[in-house]
Amino acid sequence: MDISTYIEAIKRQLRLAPEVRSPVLRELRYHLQDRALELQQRGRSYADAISAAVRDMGRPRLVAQELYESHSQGTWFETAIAAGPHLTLALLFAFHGWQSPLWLGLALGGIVLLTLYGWSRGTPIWLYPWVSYSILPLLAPGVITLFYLWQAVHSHATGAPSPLPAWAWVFLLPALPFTIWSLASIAIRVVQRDWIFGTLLLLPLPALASWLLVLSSRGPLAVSLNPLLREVDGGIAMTLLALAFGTGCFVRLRQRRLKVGALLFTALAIWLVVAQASPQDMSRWGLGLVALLLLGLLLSPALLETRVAPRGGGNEPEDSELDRLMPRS
Amino acid sequence: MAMSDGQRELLKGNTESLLLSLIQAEPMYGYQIIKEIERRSEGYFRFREGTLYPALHRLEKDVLVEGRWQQTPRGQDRRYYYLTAKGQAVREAKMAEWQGFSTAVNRVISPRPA
Repeated sequence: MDISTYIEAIKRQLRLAPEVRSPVLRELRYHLQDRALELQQRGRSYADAISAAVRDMGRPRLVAQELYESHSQGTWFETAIAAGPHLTLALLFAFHGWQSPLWLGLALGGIVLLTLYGWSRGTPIWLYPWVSYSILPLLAPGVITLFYLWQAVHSHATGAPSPLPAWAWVFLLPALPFTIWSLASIAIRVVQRDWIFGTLLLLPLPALASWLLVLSSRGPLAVSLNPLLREVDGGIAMTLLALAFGTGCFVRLRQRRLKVGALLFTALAIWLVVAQASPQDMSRWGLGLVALLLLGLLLSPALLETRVAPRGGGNEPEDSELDRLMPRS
Repeated sequence: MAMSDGQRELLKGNTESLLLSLIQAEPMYGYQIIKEIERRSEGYFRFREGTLYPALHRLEKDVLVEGRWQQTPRGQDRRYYYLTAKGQAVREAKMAEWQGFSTAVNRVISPRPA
């Protein structure tokens, strides 16, 4: 294996932001060049010196893993900020602050402002949970359509009248592809960095959709949203606390598989809280749908990653310096 | 010469102290650090090269060292590591800890005078 192939193998497995990864790879490349040059000066052939230098560095997978772990842990400050939007909304629901337009406006406005600030700072690790809530207005038309579709299916199954007149679907249905397109565009951008950030970003969405399903199973939302929300706001706060805890673990853990474990554990906790709060008649269909939503959004970034090219190859130098120092003849 | 398991464990447990001490003497880049450790330990310690950079980057993340790209005397770009004030304090604490530990071990393993 030559130096470029070795560096390329590490690059493929080193899932760090391009601006962090690029100098790391450059440093490794120069190290390999120094080592190969030294071996060549000691009398080894060019090819021999290169393969010995690469062998001494260690297997690319192992080196990439150790490098990842030395960069992947966020500070306690970053952990607190990352958990911030979940905690803010958890407090809002735990103390019924969602009923006050002032508190709700302050919380949502703050979330949007911090998202814009984070985006302008080059997407730090704490940004993704904030993006989850900031994109809600963009997704709202699609979520409303899905909600009415669910109600229509429910009405059809129980023999109740349809929740909407037929003409209303003409306006509602186009919202669904728009929402899917918006979500996919954002997800692709995030997944180009690393799919686990995509999962972190998407995780609150099935949680919110699940509570919408629970609420709609408890009664008609259009006429009694506030009393219904008051019945379950403790459960919603619990879900948001689970999200805050899971996000905190995700940021602090070094190992990639533990980060994925934190996300799975959070999804399970959300499902348990939603299952506890769901009315009896929802349990069979609704909980299955909630589980599908959670699983689908957890796995979709990983599947998406296989389809999209990683962003920003960085500017790792080629072997020019090596060629200058070590004539092949 | 390959390192024994015991040597490897000793090196693993003291990587941070060794790196901080070397960098304190003068700012160095990765390959230079490996050569210097080998030279000063007369070949006793041999870093697995792939483990050096994760260790250096951990120290940098903890603000114990600071990496800067600059040119070597031969005009090549290399990333030099400098000891920070926090790194200096940690190094001194580790040295004191090591001195106490090695003195105690020497007292225990030295043969008692008859």
